[in-house]
Amino acid sequence: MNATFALIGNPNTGKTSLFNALTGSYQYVGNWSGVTVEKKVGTLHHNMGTLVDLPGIYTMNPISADEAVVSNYLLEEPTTPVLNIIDTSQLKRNLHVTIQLLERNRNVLLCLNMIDVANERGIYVDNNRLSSLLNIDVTPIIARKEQGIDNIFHGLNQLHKSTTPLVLYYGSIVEKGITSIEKKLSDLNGDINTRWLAIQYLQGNRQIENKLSSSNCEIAKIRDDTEKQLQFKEGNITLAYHIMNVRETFIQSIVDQVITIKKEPKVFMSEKIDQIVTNKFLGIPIFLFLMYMIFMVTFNWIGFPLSDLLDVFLTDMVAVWFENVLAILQVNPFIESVILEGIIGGVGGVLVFTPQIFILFFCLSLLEDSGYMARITVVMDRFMQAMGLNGKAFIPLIIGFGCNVPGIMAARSIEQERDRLITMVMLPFMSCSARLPVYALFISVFFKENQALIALSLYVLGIVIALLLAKILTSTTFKKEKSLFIMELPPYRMPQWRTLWRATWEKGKGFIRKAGTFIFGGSVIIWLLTYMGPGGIDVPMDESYLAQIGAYIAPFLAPLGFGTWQAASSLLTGFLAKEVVVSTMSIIYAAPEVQMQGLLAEYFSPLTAYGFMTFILLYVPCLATVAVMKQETHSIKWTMFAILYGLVMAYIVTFLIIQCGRILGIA
Amino acid sequence: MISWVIGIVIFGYAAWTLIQHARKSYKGKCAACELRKYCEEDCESPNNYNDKNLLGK
Repeated sequence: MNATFALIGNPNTGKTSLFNALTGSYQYVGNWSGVTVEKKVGTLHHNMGTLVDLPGIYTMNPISADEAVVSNYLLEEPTTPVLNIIDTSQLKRNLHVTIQLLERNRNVLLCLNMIDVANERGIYVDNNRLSSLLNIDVTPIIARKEQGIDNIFHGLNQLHKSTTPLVLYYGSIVEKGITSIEKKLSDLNGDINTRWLAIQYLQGNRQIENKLSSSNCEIAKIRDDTEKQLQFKEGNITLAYHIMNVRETFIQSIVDQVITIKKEPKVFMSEKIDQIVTNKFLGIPIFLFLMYMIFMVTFNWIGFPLSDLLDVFLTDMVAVWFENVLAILQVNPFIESVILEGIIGGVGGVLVFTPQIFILFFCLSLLEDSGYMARITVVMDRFMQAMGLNGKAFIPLIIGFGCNVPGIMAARSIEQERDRLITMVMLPFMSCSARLPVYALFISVFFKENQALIALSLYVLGIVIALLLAKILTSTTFKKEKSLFIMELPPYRMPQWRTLWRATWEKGKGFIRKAGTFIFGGSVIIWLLTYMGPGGIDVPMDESYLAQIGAYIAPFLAPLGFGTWQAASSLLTGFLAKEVVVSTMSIIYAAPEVQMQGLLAEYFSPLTAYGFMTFILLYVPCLATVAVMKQETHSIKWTMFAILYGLVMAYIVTFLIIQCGRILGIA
Repeated sequence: MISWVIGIVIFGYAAWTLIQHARKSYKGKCAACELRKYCEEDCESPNNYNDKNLLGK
């Protein structure tokens, strides 16, 4: 079967969980709004066709960039059957999208998700009654637990049978306007429902306006006349408000007939927890404490012990095995060197920190799946407001802790253009997981006593610098525009091991893949640059090309306390990806990680090591981040600004740290 | 002979991974999206940021 189905619903109703359950694929699932900012396509089980996961919407009329995707999709694919997922405990609000879908056609299967949460809240929905009132199939499900999934497959099979759209009566004036517009659209090709188009046009859907741009003048006049007549009759209301009001009345009549409330309203556990974790005074300390605990687990408690074991495995077993094999094969010294020093040294130096990466991803997934991450946006809203933004902008920033690239993509869910742009420019200061190996390396050498605290301080420093940038931008370039914050808080829930494991693995395997691909490639090239020099091949390291390149930059870094060619070339290669800094160091110091730690102590002091980590945190974004920023902003100017601002801030902040440290007598 | 083969494999693969990385970075995530045709304006950017609309001129 080669059918295509679209998955549509409000934000945070479990669309991505359902998508994963129906397709068997894994997509990133988050317990907050705005996870899906792009569309995802998966193959349905039982050879049922393909399923398209679209971003969450509250109405067809798009506000933010990602929401526009849904309207465009429905326009371009007028007959595609829709799987409409709704949060059962928020039935009334969710039905607004359902009604608009049904006005398009009745090729809709309604999934009442999270019926368990609704029942816990004393909300019971009569599925059969709802089904007969809307004249579509209704299926109760619990997507996270994959309950009711078989019924969906059965429902999808029946979908093509009914196509008659829902017709709501919007009153004589609006109906006249709809009919007039429909007449103007009569020559429109394709299977698109012209009544739906007319209603969407009247309610001000920008995407529909663009679609109908050819006949815009005539139908625009119809819309204006209709609105004037409506206002003459009903007072100062807009067409969009009137249309929404008619739907609201219809939805209320449905809700009254299908919902039974069996419990008295009470303060739910989520709300009790929220009173503490989003408290004005306790919110930030709780957030910092949780981050501190994450770093304790990532470094002190589990990360480093596992890392040490992995290091022993790589140096004592893998490297020795390769040495033996190469001896048997009698390869020349050049090949032996590139394998042992370049590949095993460079790639192995990064792979050693795999446990920390996985643990960090696990902890972040835990916070996210439990619903706590969404609260951080509320906690941070006050700070963000002070900086001229709002809490919603903090969601992409948190995603940026994993990797800056999806963070920049996630900024699409921000409605205001200026907030979106500022957020994208702020993102490179969020300490992504690629920087973790660098911290892990230096922390393991210089800060054994305060590992978690040092890591936390770097993450907080990144946030502070990002907020500072926001303040500068909102009080200069963008000061005329206002921003607003509407955030729906998901209920707290017990994280599921399967979701956690999948999320951790999917993110963590990206790190291993990087190690096997461009970190490998980078290591080989870097090794080659250390092996060759103006004097020929196999030159001493200090006379290599890499040393020469680094030597040009080193004087600029001297005021920062790490003006060596080794540090300079490591920073340079970090543009490819931040992990490559560790690969480069592993190759330059031409020693397995354990010995390299000893060598590092000769070149860095604890103060300059902290300065170096600060520099790594703030200086230029990696290649992938720069590219995606260029695409998302469509502006070379802003991309260059992000790079230069980072470089300047890195220099100033590191300089201040080093100088203040020296004044305070810290080595 | 074996050294030559290993050398070609290693350096060939290294060059390929770096070219791929640069190419993928340049294209961004949208290039791989099956539904990019439904995006507003074009795949890469739903909003075209330029001086005009940013500064509200």
